[in-house]
Amino acid sequence: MVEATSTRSGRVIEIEQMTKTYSIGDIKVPALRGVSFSIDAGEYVAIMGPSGSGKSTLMNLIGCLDKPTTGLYRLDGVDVSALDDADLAKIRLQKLGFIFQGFNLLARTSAVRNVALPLFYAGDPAREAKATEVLKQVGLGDRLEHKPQELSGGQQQRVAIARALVNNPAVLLADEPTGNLDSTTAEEIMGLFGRLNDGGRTIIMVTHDDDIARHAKRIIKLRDGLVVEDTAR
Amino acid sequence: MNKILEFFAEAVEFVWNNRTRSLLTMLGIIIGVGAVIAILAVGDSTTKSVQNLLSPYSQSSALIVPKQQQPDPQNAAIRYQDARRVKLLVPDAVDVQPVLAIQMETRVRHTDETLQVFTTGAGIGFDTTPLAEGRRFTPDDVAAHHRVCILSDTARSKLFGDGVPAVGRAVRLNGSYYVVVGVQKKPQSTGLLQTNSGQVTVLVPYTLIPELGYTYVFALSVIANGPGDVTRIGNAAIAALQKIHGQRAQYEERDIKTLNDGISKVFTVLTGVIGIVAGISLLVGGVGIMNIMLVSVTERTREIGIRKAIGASRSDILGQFLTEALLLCAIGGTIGLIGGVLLAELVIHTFIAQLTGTVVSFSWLPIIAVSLTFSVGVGVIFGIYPAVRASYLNPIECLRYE
Repeated sequence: MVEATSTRSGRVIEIEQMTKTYSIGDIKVPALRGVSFSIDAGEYVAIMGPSGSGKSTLMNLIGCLDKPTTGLYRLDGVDVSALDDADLAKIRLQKLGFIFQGFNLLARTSAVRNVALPLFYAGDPAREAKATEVLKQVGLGDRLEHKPQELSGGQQQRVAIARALVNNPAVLLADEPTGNLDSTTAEEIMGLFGRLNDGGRTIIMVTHDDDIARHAKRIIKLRDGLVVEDTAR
Repeated sequence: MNKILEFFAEAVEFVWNNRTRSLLTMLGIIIGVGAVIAILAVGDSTTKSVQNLLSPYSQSSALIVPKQQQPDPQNAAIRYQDARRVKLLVPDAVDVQPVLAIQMETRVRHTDETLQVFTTGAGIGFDTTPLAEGRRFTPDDVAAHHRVCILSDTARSKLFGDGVPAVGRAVRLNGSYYVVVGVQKKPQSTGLLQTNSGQVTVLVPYTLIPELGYTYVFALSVIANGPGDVTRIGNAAIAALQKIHGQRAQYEERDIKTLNDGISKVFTVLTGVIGIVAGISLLVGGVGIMNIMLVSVTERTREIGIRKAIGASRSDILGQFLTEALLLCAIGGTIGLIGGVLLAELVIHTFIAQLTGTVVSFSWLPIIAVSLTFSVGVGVIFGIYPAVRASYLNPIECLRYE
């Protein structure tokens, strides 16, 4: 699954004039003020920007954890801006794979069961076998039954990557994936991302670190809720 | 269905990984269910053992006796011949028999022994104690004034020796010999009316009352078609006696069914009231479960966020937490059931046994049903709120939660 070419092609993400405004009491705080871009299958995109630029908000919206105030968002051919909570959960389950800065693994649960969790919610009976397979592909075939605290940071992030990959998502979403790792381990994880992208996997990564963003093939820079730069490398 | 099993397996693991806390959480349910079970079981057993005290007596017959206080007791006294006349006036009655209850002396091995002599009719009468040997009186015994008798177990021991076969031997009463045709079994209970509470009882056919030298009898035994008809037939017999003795003569009806129903009612009310009090402790246990579940939801906010981010739906989260609450209640309910049953057995074997002289076990099925229903009910009622709260948590905020 890591090396296999994704069967998806064409536009994976289409965002048009998306805005997001938070209400804190009577005060309206605009986090995104009209963002438009699209991402094709197989792209490797880094979203950058200083804190407060709206990149976390954008990440949550792309990840279907939140709904835009206005604008259009089409993910893998589905207009998700109109979906309700239950359908958004289904979209997250089927089309998205999340990787977090803090790994966010279930602490008391073994690696293989952490990876199998999305398949549990999908009701896949063969989930342990599939999870084992993906863990082998990220180089953790000998750590299946280890709990997160028995693994190093880099290994934990690999488990999280395996969990994100196990349902063969249309997009891999990584939020500061190397933020909690030392530079050597960070390079290893970036190497894994590179191989995944070479295999056809679409990756969107939010980071503020130029050294990490350098690995992506396209960089979208945000400032004050607007796209200020969109460059392919 | 598969998913429910998975939720269940996960819940089992979670409860096991947090054993101490789970046990403390369940404590309220354990005590609540235990108390309800113990009270229901003890109530059930007590009611039954009290009813057991009445069980040697037929519920289909009523005794009609003159009231203690009345204007002219002499006139109200029931005579032997009244039975036949009452029967004519109450054709619905299966039978109307005069009952004599007297003490007589007989000589056994050169000492005087006091006997309680009762009269009865053919077949199973008011005293339904089963026979250990021999037979009951036949209609022929009654009609032909045969001098026969049936002994209580104690009477047999006193007169002939423990366990010695007595059928065919004779007892001397009022100068005549009565042949023993049957011996009663040792009574299971001491008997509320004391007629067979280990007394030296001799039953003789009621037609021998004149030959024993009596004109006046203790009571009329009125036999109805069934327990439901007893009160009506009894009242009809009273009316008939008043026709014979005049309206000033007053009688009362004593039947086992009315007594039995009264006792049942009292115990049901008592059990119910105490059960409600115990139910309140179950309710408090439920609140305890809810409290801990709410704490658990807060503690696991991040976990909920992770699960939602990777695609768990609201119903998945709801199912997970509800299953956990249900499991806690089911385990608590089972422990409570066992504890309650043990407590009930202890109380029944000590206090109740002392009071009633018997041990009657309670009915298991309704008690298990009640405890299961209660604990699962409490689980659903008090588990649903924390579970719903968990399911509505915002994943973004959950993931930010430290």
